[in-house]
Amino acid sequence: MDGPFYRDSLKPHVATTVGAVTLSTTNKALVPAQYLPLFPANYFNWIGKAVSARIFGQFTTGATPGNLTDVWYFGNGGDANGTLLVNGGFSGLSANVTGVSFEFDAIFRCMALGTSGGIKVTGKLLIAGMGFVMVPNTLPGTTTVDLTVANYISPQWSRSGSTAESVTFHDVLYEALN
Amino acid sequence: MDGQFYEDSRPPFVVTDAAAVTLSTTDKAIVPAVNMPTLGANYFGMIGKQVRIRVWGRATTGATPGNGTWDIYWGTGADANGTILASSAGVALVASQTSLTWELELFVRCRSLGSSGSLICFGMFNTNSAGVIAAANQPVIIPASLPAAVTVDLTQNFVISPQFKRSGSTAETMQAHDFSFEAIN
Repeated sequence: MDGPFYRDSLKPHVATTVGAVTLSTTNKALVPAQYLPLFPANYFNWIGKAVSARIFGQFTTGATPGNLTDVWYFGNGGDANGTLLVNGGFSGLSANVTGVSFEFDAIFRCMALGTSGGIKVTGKLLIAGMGFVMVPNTLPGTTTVDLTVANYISPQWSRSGSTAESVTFHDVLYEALN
Repeated sequence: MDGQFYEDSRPPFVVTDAAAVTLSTTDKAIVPAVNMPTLGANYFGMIGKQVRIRVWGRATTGATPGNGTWDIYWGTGADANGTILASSAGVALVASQTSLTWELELFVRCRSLGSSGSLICFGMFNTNSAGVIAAANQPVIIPASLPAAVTVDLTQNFVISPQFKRSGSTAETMQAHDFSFEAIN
């Protein structure tokens, strides 16, 4: 260690695999809120404060999955709830794959404080056999968000296709980076 | 935590985008030295000491970008200053891409100490699959082959500087949006 900015894991430390989430054309939370750390009001209380998140799971596609939208919300953990922090896109999903592994990770850095706070997200999504994308794909920026409210940082996906796609997460790791 | 070897982040915690860097056929520092932690002489003060560096940014290419190469320096942080710790292969850049994002992750470990010390550097460069580097050429591993410790003077107050060059003839730019430096032990 070099100094006072220890990196440490945030609870809950999930030791279970939860049932699959069926994707839709609207965003669906990949991880139920009970398995995510709740960030209390003003957790991000100094500029530069950063948290990382890593989700590892499996992904199944049907005949016409279309394209994937991969996002992170700051909200109550429910589907499409809260402020959309970043919007990623994954084009051309492979059809009819079963249980391929994926990793979805990001760093969330506080850029401004308070009710008009700001979070910048930089991350990536890797899907075995399909490739990977940076999140966002282009023009990273800061999203204005109310940091005085307790909320979750929730990974969510949607897909543009018309058949059943599903996601099951196997591991969740959130870490305070400083 | 298991013991005394906590991972921890080093300031400065960068909260403004670095200026865009216009690439050249010679190495250009992608992260300004002012955005890097001052390590001090003999920062690598124990054999096995390791750090992790992550840079996240965007790139734009012109009509004939040629190949792109990462060179990781131990030096002042100025362009092409110091000793190269590791390099990627020269990988073909995709032409005419605008502001597409990428990630560079590096691990640097001390192998020996002092004025004839040594560091070994490993890493990976990822871009969007349909981005500035074709999917078939990804990931870009650093070094491309034959990883080895490099002799450097660890008594200098230097930085670990990720630098990039391209072989083409048109204007390419890269810009760092996030930078993190963590002591692993």
